[in-house]
Amino acid sequence: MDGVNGGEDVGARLAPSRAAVSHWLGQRLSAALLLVLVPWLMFSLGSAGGMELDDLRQWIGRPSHALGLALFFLAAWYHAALGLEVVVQDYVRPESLSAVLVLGVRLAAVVGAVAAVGAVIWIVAGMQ
Amino acid sequence: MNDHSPPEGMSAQSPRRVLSPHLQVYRLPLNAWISLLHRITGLLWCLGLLGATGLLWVVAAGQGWPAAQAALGSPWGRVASILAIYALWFHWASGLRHLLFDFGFGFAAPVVRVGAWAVPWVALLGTGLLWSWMG
Repeated sequence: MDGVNGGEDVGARLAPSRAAVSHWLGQRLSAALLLVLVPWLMFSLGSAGGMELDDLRQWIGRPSHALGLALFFLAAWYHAALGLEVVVQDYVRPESLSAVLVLGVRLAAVVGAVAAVGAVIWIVAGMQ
Repeated sequence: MNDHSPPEGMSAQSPRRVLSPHLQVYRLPLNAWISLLHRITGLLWCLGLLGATGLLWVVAAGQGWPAAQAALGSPWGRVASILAIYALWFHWASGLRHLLFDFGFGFAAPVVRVGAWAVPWVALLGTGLLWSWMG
């Protein structure tokens, strides 16, 4: 035997807890961002349904608004993926299916975030 | 009669029988309802986020906005919007409570109870504020 750890690599043994800590931290950091961004968006775009397309684009096209909107969609898709991951891991069995679904959730969140940020860039570019 | 049958006059459904702990036996405390609803509103807003991303795409593409407006403005669209806004405020308030817990605030039992009770009311207040803001 090779010391108290039986020769095992301590880093490899700690990997799962590191992933858990980063999940926990990511959930809180995105939550803190959304705590501010969600009310801002609700009060800014709550009446977007009644707005003309050009007015709406003009609002989104402003640099500060575009930045806030892109940040919101990035944080929200990340936050949604982390939350869905927990729900899937809690309720879906067998574990092989749960693991596949978690991968699917992450992939969907990346697609969603890229689509949203892409749309914001598209609108800003269209303003020029 | 074998040793495992219930005693005379005591059916399997007798209220005097000890029940094993199970969710359906407990009356859930308010705190547990808020926790459950936090998950449900979070799940609902995964769909909401999908819808919001789709709407943003419609605005960027410049096609289909009148149809989206008509859907949002229809009676069912309005009801769904109000419920979605309430669900979002609910998740927001409940999430804020959890962030405060994470920083070590509000662990005393009375504070936990008041906090749980406040969540649906803060959500109602937020929904009302937004409503009056939009005129």
